Formats: sequence, C-alpha cells, structure tokens
Amino acid sequence: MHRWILAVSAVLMMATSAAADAILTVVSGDSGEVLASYELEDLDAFPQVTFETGNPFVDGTVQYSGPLMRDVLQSVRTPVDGTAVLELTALNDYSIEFPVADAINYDVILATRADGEVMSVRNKGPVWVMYPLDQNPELASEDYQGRLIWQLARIELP
Amino acid sequence: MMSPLRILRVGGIALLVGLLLAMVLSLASARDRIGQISVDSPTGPIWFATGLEFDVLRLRGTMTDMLLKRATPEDVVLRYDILWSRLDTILKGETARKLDEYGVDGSLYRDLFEEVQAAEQMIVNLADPREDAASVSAFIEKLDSFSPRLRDASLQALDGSTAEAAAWRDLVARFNRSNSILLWLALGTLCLLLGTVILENLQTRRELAEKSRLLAKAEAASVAKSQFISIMNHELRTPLASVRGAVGLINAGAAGPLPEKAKAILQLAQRNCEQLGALIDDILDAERFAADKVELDLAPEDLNDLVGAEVATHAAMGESYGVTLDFVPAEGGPLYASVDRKRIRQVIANLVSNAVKFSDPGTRTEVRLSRLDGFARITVKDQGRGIPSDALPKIFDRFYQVDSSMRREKGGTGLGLSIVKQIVEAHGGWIRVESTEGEGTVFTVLVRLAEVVNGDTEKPDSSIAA
Repeated sequence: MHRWILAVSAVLMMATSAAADAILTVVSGDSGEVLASYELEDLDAFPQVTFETGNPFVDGTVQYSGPLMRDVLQSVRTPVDGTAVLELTALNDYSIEFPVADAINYDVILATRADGEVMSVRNKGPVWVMYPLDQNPELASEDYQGRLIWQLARIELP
Repeated sequence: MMSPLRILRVGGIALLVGLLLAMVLSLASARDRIGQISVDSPTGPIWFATGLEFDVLRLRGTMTDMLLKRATPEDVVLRYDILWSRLDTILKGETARKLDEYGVDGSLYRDLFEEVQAAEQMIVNLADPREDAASVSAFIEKLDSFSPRLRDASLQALDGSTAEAAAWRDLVARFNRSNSILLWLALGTLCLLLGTVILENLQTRRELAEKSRLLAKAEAASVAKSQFISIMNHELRTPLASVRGAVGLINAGAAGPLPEKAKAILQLAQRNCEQLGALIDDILDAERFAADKVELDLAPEDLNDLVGAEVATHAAMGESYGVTLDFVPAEGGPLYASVDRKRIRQVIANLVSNAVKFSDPGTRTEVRLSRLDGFARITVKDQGRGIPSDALPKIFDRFYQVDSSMRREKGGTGLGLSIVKQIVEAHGGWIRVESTEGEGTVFTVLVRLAEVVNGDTEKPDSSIAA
C-alpha cells in the first residue's frame, strides 16, 4: 500500500517538474495523462501564422501571431477528430469548451505574440486563443468571442 | 378605366402582402434581438466585474498563504499578473464601454489599478527575504478596503444589465403588440377584400339582369317590327291588290258602261291604289335595306338598253306633266355592267319620276349615258325648281322631303332617294346630286362596267364561254 502511494507521488512529481517550465500542457480527459507540454520555443517551432484583428477586449486592432491550433492538435494526436470538443483552461482556472471544427474551419491560432511582442501574463499571455475575427465577419458573435480564452494553460482532449 | 371596387381589391391585396411581409420581417428581427439578450454571457460586463472581485480575493488569499508559508512568491506573482490583466481588460474595449453605459463608476477600477501598479516593486521583490511581511499586510489591507466598492460596482453592473434585459423585454413586448396590430390589420384587409368580392358579385349580377332585360326589350321590338312588316306585306298588300284589280276591271268596262262622273272617280281611286301599292313597296324595300337583307340578282346587262327601256315607260307620265323626256344613249356600242336588272330600273324610275314631278310644264328632262374610266355614268337632268343648298345633304336620308307641303300634291314617301342610294351602293356604285334653285337638278350615278376583253366590250358570260 505504502509502495503504491510512493510510486504514484513519484510519477506526479515527475510530471509536475517536467511541466514546470511549460506554458501549455495537453492532457487526456480520460486518464489525466499529459500528452504534450510546450515551452514558448516549442510553440515557436511550429509554422507561424500572423493576422491583424480587433476583438472586444482591446482597443483598435492588434497583430497576433503563433502556431495554428490544428497544427498543434495534429502533433499530439492524429487523426484530429473534427467533431470533438476540447476543454481549454486558463491560468485563473476559467475554462471553456472549444469545438475542434473551429480549428479546422478557421485559422485559429495559439497566439504567443501581440504586435511582435511576447505576451506577458499581464497582457493576456503567454498564450491567447485568437480567431481571425476581422477576416471572417460571421464570427462576430458572442459565441465565438467567448472562445477567445487568454492566459491559456491547459488543453484537455476528450 | 378601373372600377373603384377593383382598385379597392388590388389595393387590398397589395396591403395584405405588405402586412404579411412586415410581420415576417418583424418576427425575424425580434428573433435576432432576443438572441442578443444574454445577460450571463462569459464576455458580459457583469462577468468581468465579479471576475475582478474573485481575482482580488485570490491574490489576497495567495499572499496570506505565502505569509503562512503555504504558497511561494511565484504563486503571488502569477495571481498579481492575472489581476493586472483583468484590470487592464476592464478599462479597455467593449467592456469599458458597456460598464460606462451601465453607469458603473470607472474611477474605482482606475484607483485599484493605480494601487496594484504601485505595489509592483513590492511584489517583484517578494522572493527577497528582506521584504518584510508588514508591507504585504499593508497591501492586503489596501485590497480589502476596495471590497465594498467592488461589491457596489458589481451590483451596479448587474442592475444595468437587468435594466438592459428589461428594456429588451419591453422591446419584445412591443414587437408582440405591433405584430398583433399587424395581424388585426391583415384580418381587416381580408374582410375588406371579401366585401369587395361580394359587392362586385352583386354588381355583376345586377348588370347581367339589366342587360338581359334590355335584350328582351330589344327582342320584343324586333319581333314587333317583323310583325309590322309582315302585316304590311300580307294584310295591306293582298287586299289592296284585289281592290286595285276590281277597280281596274270596272274601269276597263267589265261591269258595263259607266256614267262619265263615276268613271272619273274610279280613275282617281285606281291612281290612289297604285300610289298606295308603291308606298308599301318602298317601305318594304327600305326595311330590307336597313336589315341588310337585300340580295342582288346580278347579271350582265347593256345599260343603253336597260336605261332606255325604263325611260320609255315614263314617256306617258312626262306627257301628262307637259315635260319633254329625252334619252341619250352612250356612244360606242353596248355598255355592259353586272347589275340587278329590276333594281337598276327602280333607280331610273325613281330619278325620272322625281324629275318629271318637280318640273314645270314646257321644260325638258334628259337622261344621258356615257363612259368614264371603266364606269358607266348615268345623269338625270331636269329644269325644275331645284333643291335648296341646305337640304342637299339630307335628300338621301330616309323619310326626308324638301318641302313636306308637297307630299300630298306630288305624292311620295321620302323613301325613294334613300332606296336609290342604297341600291347604287349595293352595286358598288356611287350617286351624287347637284342643284341650283330655280334652274334644275342633276343626279349622277356611276356604275362599274364589266371587264373589257380584247378591246371590245363584250358580255362577260360569252367571254368566259369562249
């Protein structure tokens, strides 16, 4: 019994230490298993997409850049299930449901930079899920605006 | 020209279509607007206001934990940064605008932001063991002092959004009301349309009844006319024929010699019988022409022969009026035309007897035939009293007589010239009159000649046979 507890705590500690410098982790909803964890450099290694858009939380427009959500998902688990719904959780434990279909239909990015600058926590970083709102007028609804989760820390796959 | 009912109906239909369209549009827009009523939206201002309270509490809690060594300085920095970003968001973009709209005092958030920014140095240095717990506690107290104001602001935002929701509810109710008004209007229009249809139906029925009544009347009149003509034909002419025959026989001495006086009276009776017969014939002719019932029995005739023969039968009449009657045939041989022999003789008889009757004794009446560009021209020229120019256009009208006082003196019905004109026109011909009062009158009739074959005027029948 004591052995078991020790073993589990050891695994947990390893997982925690491995994720210590990570800014974003991807976990499996079933097992809680960490499928991937990314530091800023890891996210920068993906092909970068840049677009300029406004959103209800900033004044004017901002140029956001970062990897495509679908590229990141694909690197974790293929094939990507287009009908799945992910749970995205922020640093302050705020969470939303994110339909994978959005990532397929639109160039949704995990924005790591605003106007070329790395985003601090104070500026809704380090990762902000950003939709190309200005490029797709049909996205101008509260449904989509509610999915612009900032300070994203965790992606949970079903 | 559209009837008012029709205009009403078309207008009604247009109105109905418009109303239905307006209803559909207003329903659609109401649905849209209802969709926008989402007070609990995660991006809504209330959410931010209460979320801010939550983040303040979490920072405060983490700092307390740190003082109790249950949390690390890094944990505090993360909470601090999250609060910073929350304040940054609440003072910017749509959220700031909305909170302002709800009447939430933005200065509270600015004050809090200033306090938070002022504590930055302290937060960054937390990891330094020299940083004393007193300043952390002071910051915690400062944060606590904002609590009542933050609560008020959250309640204010809630009030604002409730008021907005209430406004939306009002709007929906208004839509509902306006839609039911539209519905009533549509129903009213429908009733109006139904009314116009019923009215139009009634009107059509009334018009139909009126038309059939008029038709019955016209039919009755037509029947009466036919009966009249039939009476003229049989009930007047048949007995007249026997009277005329009897008088003729007596005059011819069939009942033995008569005293001179009786003979004169009987001759008068016979003349009047003949005039009456002619009158009945004229009336019947006139009716036939009016009803378009005259059928011409066309055959090629030599007009020189035909007209000459008819003029000759009036020689005795001319003598009795003391008028010289001359006939001048056309030169160059026979003058063939396709005509109804009996009708052409009727035309000549009418024109000649008119000319003789209205001439003074010792004058001359001339009937002349000539050719004119494929037409035969017949002129009847007298030296009578002439026709006044104002009466000239009317002399071919039915029952028109230049001087009705002369009717009894000269006899005639005023039908003769109208019949003459109709006979000539039925032949495709043309008649004209010229007259000078006191000098005489000239009637000119043109009748188209039959086809000319091989330069000779021949009987068309024989040319076809050849």
